[in-house]
Amino acid sequence: MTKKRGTDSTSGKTPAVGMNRRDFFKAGAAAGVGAAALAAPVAAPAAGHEAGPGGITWDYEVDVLICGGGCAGITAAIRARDAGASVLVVDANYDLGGRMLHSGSFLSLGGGDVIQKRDMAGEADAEGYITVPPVEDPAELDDNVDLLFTDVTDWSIVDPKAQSPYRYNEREMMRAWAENCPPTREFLMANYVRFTRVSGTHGGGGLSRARAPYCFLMLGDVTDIRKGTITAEDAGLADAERTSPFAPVKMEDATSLVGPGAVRNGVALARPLEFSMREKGVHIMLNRHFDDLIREEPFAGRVVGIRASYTPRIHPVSGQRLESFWQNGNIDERRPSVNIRARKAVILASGGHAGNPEIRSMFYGAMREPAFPTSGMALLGPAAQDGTALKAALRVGANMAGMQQNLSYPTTFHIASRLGTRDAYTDMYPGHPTFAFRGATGLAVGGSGFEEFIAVNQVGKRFFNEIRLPKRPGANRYPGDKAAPGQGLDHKPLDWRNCAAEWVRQSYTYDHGLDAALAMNEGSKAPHYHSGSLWAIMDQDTIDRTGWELRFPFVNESNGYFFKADTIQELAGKIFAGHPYARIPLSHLGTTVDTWNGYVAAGADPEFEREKDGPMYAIAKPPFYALSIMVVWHDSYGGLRCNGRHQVIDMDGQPIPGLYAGGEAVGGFNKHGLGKGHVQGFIAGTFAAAELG
Amino acid sequence: MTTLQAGGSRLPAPDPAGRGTISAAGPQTTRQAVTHPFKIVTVPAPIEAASSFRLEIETPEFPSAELNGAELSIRDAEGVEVARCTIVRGSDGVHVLAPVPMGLIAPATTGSHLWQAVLCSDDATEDDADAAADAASPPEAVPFAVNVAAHTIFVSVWDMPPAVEAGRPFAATVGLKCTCGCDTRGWAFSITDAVGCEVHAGRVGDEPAAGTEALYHARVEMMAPPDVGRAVWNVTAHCPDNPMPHALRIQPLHLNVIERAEIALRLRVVDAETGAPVPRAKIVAHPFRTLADETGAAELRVAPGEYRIFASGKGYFASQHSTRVTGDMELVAELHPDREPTVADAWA
Repeated sequence: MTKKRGTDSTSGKTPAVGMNRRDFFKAGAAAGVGAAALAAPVAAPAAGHEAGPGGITWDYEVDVLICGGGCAGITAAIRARDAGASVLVVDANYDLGGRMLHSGSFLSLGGGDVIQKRDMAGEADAEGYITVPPVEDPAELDDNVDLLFTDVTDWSIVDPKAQSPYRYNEREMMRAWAENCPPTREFLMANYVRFTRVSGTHGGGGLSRARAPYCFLMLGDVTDIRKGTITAEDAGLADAERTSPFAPVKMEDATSLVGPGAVRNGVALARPLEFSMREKGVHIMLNRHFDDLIREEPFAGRVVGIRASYTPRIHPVSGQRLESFWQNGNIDERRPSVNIRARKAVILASGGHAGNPEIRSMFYGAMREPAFPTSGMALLGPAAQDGTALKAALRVGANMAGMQQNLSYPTTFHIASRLGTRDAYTDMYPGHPTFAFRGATGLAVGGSGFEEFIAVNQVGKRFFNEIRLPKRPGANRYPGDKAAPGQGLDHKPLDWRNCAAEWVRQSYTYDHGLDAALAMNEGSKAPHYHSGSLWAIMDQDTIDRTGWELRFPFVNESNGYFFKADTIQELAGKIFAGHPYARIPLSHLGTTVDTWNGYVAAGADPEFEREKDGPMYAIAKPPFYALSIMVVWHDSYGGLRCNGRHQVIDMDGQPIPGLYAGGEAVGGFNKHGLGKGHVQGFIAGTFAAAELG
Repeated sequence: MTTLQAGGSRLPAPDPAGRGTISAAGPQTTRQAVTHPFKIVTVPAPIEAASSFRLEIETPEFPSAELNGAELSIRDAEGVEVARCTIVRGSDGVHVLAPVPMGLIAPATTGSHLWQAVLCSDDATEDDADAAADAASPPEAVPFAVNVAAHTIFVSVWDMPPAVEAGRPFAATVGLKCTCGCDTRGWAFSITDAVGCEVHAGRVGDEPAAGTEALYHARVEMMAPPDVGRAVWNVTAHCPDNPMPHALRIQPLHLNVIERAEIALRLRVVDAETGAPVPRAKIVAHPFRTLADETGAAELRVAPGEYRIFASGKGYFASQHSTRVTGDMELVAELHPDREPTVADAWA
């Protein structure tokens, strides 16, 4: 049953039904006085007052200061605001939402949360939008906190890559997470988030029960977060080759989990939460990159604030600064650097390290290769997942946890099957303001599409069986991903047979194609020995055979990730001239293609035994095409160590006073995405607001 | 207080002649007696005649002189200056040329041309005596080779049947393009068989192949050899009358020669889960291949033999079925959908 949030009668600025995007709270934005109507101290914008430690001049002060306005940050902000604290969210991007905004909204919690209970009872939602019966049987939804805690600390689970996703999780943090899953589910629902039927569990969320619904909105004539409706245009569905400023990724059909007219993805989660956060008077400072923590002494005393710099994003064509979709509560601060004081606490929710080659390489040295981005780099900009929380917290003495966990999730770093675009993890069509930063939607060929071309490295040589290259191992979640001997309700937690050597041998399926792609080759030069860019080489016959559309917006001859030429040699030349990370020419490409064609004629690939896995096609009919193959680093595992209150712990095992963290900045929880971030933000926001400021 | 000695183990002497130094590696010869502080290389190397190239610098790990800020005059084989740049040492210790000498044009004659990078200024501290001495001696010139190769002719053969029947005619399209952009309209090529006998001589036309800017082509009719099995023929192209040097190009042309392909292999390709047909599925039973129609039905004409039959379709992984074919056969190929996580599945 969806709990509806009551109309906020104390705020004189409640918008009319049907969100008007630009004129909501414009008047209040500049002075940040949206919260004035609520009985809470306001952020004081006056400059130059109150010198702090070392003579710091504070430009702003607030009770709870949150670095990062994504999954964990917005959740923490609303929670702290509900507790009566004044809250400021600072985000480096031009808009809120982080990666939650272009996620799939698959939100795995459990422990007997109200959505599991709803589906177990065969009930619908209070608004009556859900007209389909539950997808899971009651037995699959019969969950409790102890079972959830057992699942996420289960020593015995080994994945198809022989890694253990649950064994290394931080136990105190897992207990807190499991206990707070049901309250967080209700909290999200109280802030306009609507959940579909439960359908399975997300990676790292446990093997025993189904715990994950998606988030949905209903297509309608007007976009109204309170009513739960969205226009086809705003959902990115009005035009097959466009999306919208509201939805960076087109929403997906949710008929099977809700009913006709329902659509789902991260838009149905991020926008409602953002709407609620703004409505409740949280202050927001966008285009503002959290740079560093300010602690009373380098490794002692309280964390008292942050330093943050101005990081606007300028559209490459219009030359204009990108502006957030909604404005109410925004503080438009443009000074190059400001110091912001947190009276109660700072919460680090600025994401992980996936976008920073220098930092992420502590987990995998070969990924110091800057050619390979993090996901969502167009939407989120150059600060995406730049590891700032890790850097800043380590500088004040923070400890870390889960250091090997980047190896035990299949989506952490992986070969993307979307070709011809740098931002290869999701598609995005023209119509979103950040499309210009990627220039192409990308060609989604799927894992099965890899039989259609050859994959070459930076010197133009093949390096692996293309058909096995994009394979990813499973994610060890209900109902089993074939890595546990007991599937579905037959699964037995904490059982030695889950990791008996015979079983692991039998269930191992990983071919290490990604690692072959990252290996050194003859083009890898000192001192970095980067492995370099990767290319899918194909010909016109490939296009005729597959029907792939090599045209805008899917590919773009000017973005440096797609090339077309009359000959293989010209193709190699165009790649070298046009790709930003082509350090050396693909001098072997001609020989590679000729050799490959000989293998095709012979029906055998002596280098990589392709003929055993799928058909082989010659590359002979002009014109010839090269599309980038990306390695994407998506999730960040391993990061700051936290206790059950999500205080950041130092190298002596003590909480750092005034410092909290949630989301991908936190290490020691090998769970993919949203369910982790929301609960961690919920916990951090709760305790941060309770600090005596 | 204890004074620590330098220790008993022998450390290797530092090697000043690290990578990139041109130095003698044995008995001195007159040509290799000089050790230069850096090495200039062309990119690419070698360069095709009259094509553009750029220069990069390689320095040894322990350069014999301070190179940062040194100005270079790049001079061609006739001593004409074609570029100027400065050696810049980055914060990572790697030296680069700034600006990068780019867009240089290689000579039109093949072979090794000796260019020079001449150090223009000496940034060591000077007193008057040194300055006078420097003025008297010539500036240091570091020679480097600009190796010029002939243009390559790109040869492609397409629209050829993957299996040809012994002794029967077949056709293929041959296309030629010069990698440096020389106009290949009307250029000649010949096709020779496995023992070198010419089976065809022809010229490409003057219309570019569909989808290309300037790849000229010709459709060629040939007769398959009488012997069953693999055969590798050759397409030879060269252009002796062109002002630019073009290297002879011999491109293999692969044939799979079969006896009569009279056995009908009929397939129905369906979705393994729903049973729905997979339109335009690809069927490959090496060396035969075809596409299914909109109803997922396909027919291959094959010779008797052992085959590994692959069927694949858009959004499906390939299925495989190994079988011996002796007479007409019907098969149903069940394809499993590509289980790649969707955006929604993969994202939290």
